[in-house]
Amino acid sequence: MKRGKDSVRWVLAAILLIGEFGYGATATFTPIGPTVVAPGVLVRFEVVLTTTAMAGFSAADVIIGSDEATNITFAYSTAWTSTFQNVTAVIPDVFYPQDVFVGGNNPTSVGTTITLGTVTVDTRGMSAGTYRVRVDPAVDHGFSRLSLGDARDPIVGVATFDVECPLGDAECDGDLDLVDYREFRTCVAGPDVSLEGQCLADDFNGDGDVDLEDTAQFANLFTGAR
Amino acid sequence: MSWNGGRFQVAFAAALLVQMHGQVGVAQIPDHPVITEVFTDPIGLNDGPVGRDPLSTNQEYIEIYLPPSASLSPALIPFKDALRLTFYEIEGDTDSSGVNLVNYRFDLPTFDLDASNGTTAGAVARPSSGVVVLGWVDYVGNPPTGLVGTPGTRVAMINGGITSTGGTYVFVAINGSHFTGTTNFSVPTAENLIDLPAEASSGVIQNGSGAYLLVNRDLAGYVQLCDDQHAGSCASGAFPNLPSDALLLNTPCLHDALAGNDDANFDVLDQPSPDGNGIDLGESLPPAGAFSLHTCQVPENVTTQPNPGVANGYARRFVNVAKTTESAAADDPVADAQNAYRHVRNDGPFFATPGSAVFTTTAPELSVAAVAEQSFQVLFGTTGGPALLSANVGGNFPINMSTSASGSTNPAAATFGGGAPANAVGGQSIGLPTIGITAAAGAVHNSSATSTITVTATNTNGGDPAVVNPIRMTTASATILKPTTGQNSVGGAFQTTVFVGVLPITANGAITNEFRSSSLGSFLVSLPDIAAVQTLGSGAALINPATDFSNGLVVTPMIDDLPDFGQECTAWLFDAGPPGKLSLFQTVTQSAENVVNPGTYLDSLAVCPLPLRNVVKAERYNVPDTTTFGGGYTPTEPLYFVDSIGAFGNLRSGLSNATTTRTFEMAIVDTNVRTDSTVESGKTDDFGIIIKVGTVEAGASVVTGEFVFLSITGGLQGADIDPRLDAAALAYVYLLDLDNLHSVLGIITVESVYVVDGSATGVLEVIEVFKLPEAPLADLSAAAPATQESLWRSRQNIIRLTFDSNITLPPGGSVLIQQMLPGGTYGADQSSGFTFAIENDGLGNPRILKILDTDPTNFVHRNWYAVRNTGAWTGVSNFTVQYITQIGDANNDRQVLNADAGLINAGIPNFNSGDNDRRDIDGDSAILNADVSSTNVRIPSFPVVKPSGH
Repeated sequence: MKRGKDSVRWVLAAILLIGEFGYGATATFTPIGPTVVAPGVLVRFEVVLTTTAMAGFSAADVIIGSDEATNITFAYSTAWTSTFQNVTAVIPDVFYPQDVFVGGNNPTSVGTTITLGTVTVDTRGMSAGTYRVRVDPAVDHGFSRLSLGDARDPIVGVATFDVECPLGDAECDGDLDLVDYREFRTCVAGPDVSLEGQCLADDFNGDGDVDLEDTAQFANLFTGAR
Repeated sequence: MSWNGGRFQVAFAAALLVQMHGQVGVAQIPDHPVITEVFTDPIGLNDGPVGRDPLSTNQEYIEIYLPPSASLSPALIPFKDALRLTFYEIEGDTDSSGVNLVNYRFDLPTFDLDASNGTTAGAVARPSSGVVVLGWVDYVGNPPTGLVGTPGTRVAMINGGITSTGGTYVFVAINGSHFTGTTNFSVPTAENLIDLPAEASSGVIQNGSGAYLLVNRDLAGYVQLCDDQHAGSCASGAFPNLPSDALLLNTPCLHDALAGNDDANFDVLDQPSPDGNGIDLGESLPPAGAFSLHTCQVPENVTTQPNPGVANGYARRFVNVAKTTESAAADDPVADAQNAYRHVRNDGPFFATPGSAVFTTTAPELSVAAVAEQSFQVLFGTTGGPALLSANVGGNFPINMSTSASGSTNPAAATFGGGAPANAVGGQSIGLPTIGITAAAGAVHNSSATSTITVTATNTNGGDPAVVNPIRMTTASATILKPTTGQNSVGGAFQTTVFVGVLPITANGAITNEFRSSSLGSFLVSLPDIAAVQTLGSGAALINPATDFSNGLVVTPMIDDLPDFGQECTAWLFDAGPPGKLSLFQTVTQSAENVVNPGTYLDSLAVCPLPLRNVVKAERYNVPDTTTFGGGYTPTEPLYFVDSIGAFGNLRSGLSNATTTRTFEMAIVDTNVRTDSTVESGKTDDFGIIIKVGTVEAGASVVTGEFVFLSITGGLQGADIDPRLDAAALAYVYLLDLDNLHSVLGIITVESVYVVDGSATGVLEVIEVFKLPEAPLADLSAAAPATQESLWRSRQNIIRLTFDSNITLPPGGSVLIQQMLPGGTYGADQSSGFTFAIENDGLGNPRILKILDTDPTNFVHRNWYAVRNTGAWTGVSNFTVQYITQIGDANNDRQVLNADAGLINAGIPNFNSGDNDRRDIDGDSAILNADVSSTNVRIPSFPVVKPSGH
């Protein structure tokens, strides 16, 4: 499918759902790199855990997941691995179609906030759209939480990212190849011929038509299948 | 005693009840005058006004309904402005010198039924209600010297004594022409003759057997007749010749008729009586008699529940529901007697109601029988549920009745409460809401108490006319029965008495084995060995849920019934007693029951010629070593206790619908299921019970081997049990409470139990006799965690206690959960912070008590706790299990160390651990880092010494 230039803008949201529980710890997702990407581009977020209701925490159980993403990986931060005596091995696919279970425990409190690590979403094969990566007690039955002794602090947090198709990439598969060219060629109508519909995605110079100038740019960007 | 009450009354009452609760036919206003009520027997000795009981609000009267002119039959239209009626009573008692003759005749004043053209001169206008009452006005003096009041203020002897009807109905003073006459009420144009002074006291309307005829003086067939005492006053004398329709009084002039019949041999289903046989009214209303099919005979006496008794009068149920003589149906006095009339009773709930006739469209009305009908006996150790005799005396709109009770006048004897409602009680039908009467723990024999009972009625169906008198008050009284002796033939104390509760096993289509589903079935299942308590070998089948208890082919092979006639020398029993004591035969013949009521066992006693011996129609069941006390079974279902005359099943008895705390030592199971799987009523299963003494206490008044013919509930020695329960049951279980045999006679065990046929029909069909020993207590066999181990969770700890036999859920607070304190003491009970549930063991038996900790503050880290039964959980032996709380003790070594954290870490993550996984420290059914956190904060927690004294 084709997408126009004015489609979804890059958005980042870290939404706190404290109100749902009356208290809560947060998982803040900070993007590392763009969060509007072409298919196949990796999207990364650094995840920071912060407790709000407790003076600190000594253990964490975190399930980071997505309903739509097809491949999520996770890497602990050095801050985490150097602080926690017991770091939990990453376990995939617990509660979401795609997720990771991570965490660890320590004999004593590690303070109120610490960087957990980086979650990476491989967008290969994902169609255009807006996606979420989140920590949601409503999905994981409240098992995502920070703990200090018997005290528990449920964790909530969410990030969104968009997958968008480049100009001329009719297949939205991240390259410009002969398949895309066949689609492009049907849109070439010459100078000053107004565009409509999906051919708008082939107006490389943005002058309102698809002519030889646009054809030249398509040729310059042609990558072939990959 | 044998209850062989008249089958005719039974049949009548049964039919009456059926129709009272059945559908009412199509309503139509009659096209001719009808008799609506004949009140024959007021309260007190005298039915007339002189010497009447001051409590009587009504003396005898006759009530008639006159239809409006628009409803008259074409034959009566010519008389709509001048209807001349006569009321005759014909003597029906075959023992009377005046049998078949006129007792009296009242010529009613002329009535004008059509108000549209004015009132005919000299006639009485039909009242708006159409109701006319013939009754007495009061006399002065005894013997009478005049009428009370002036001619304009005579006092009619109905409704408490009235001088005016208010115009709603017409009162005809049958003696209003006596002395100086009456002007405030109408008077008959003739009456022949009220004999003064005798009939001023006795009244004229006969109690007993007599036919009441309402005739028309202007129609063909009318003949003026006179009282048999004054036959000479009439040309035709006193003989109406009812069997003939050709001579004297003929049916063309008859408007309506009915008769009361008090002959003990009268059968309501057998009228007109085909053979006479000297039965009352048999001569005047023979099968071919002219009036016979028109004059239905209603039994004066009803012996069946729920309201046995003698009629004080008769009333038409609904004026506008036609009798067979008034409809297209073939004339049928049986149907009319059963469907069209009911008794009037001075104690109600159908009281005399002069001036008020009921139509199907009349508003429903609540009536409650008099206090005399609300007196109940209640057995010590029970809560009786007697029905309060009430009725919907109004039209055919159903009502719901409920009860509530005030305080008791003697709580030391009994307390009272409401009971089950009676719903959808139709018009002219009896309703039986119940009350609860609980015998007080310390009540003494024959102590009594009363309580004011409020009965409230509401419409069953919205939109029906409102209930008249929707709230009625009455007084219920209770007498507590706690007898310790039976009675000899002259009413003196004899030996002792026992108590028999009857548990009906009723059909339930959703259950295959209704017996197994009873509390007795559950009790027997709880016993370790059914074979040890059975007598006939049917025990295992009876507690098998797959046994079809309503299938005759399954049940009848279990029967070990009474021997038949013709088996006197082969199967009847002749057991001898111990030296110097009575034989079985002598035990029966010399029993108080046999002396007082020799018919009871007459057919069950015989002489076998070869070998010559006296024999009894009885069956023996060997129950060796059955103890007479300490029975283990107490039913949870309501029972019907047998009363002192052997009867049970009367819904209006305080011995019925009784819940009890009594224990029973033996059960006799009597099936009512026939081979074809139909169910007999069980009402003819009369039998007496004899026990053969086993062991006795030192100094006992009886000896081993002696026969004791049981008295029940303080009644005659040897009284037979007489089922009277109307509800069909698959079986009756007779539960024997034998404690008095031990406490009074010193009998420790029973060797055999005999049932003696009291009905001569031998239909008692025993399928098993059970001993009911106290069930062994369930012993604690295992605990998880085991005693002395640790409770390891911060919350949601689970303790499972396994027992060696089935258990039931402990009552709240009966299992104690307390902190163990120094000196062998305990803290407060914390069991309310836990939930308890019963789980099955691996064999499917309910033997595990699961205790779940629902409050995180229940168990404090490093404190010791005990879970105990100290007797409050009955059926379970006392036990104590002790636990130390060590939160985080994943490896169950009674301490919390790094090894526990390590054990938990190795299990992370597990999102669905078992409910007793020790690595789940926070009780969320998962093993996660949070559990390590809960553990880490307790590291190190070394073992804790138990408080001293535990």
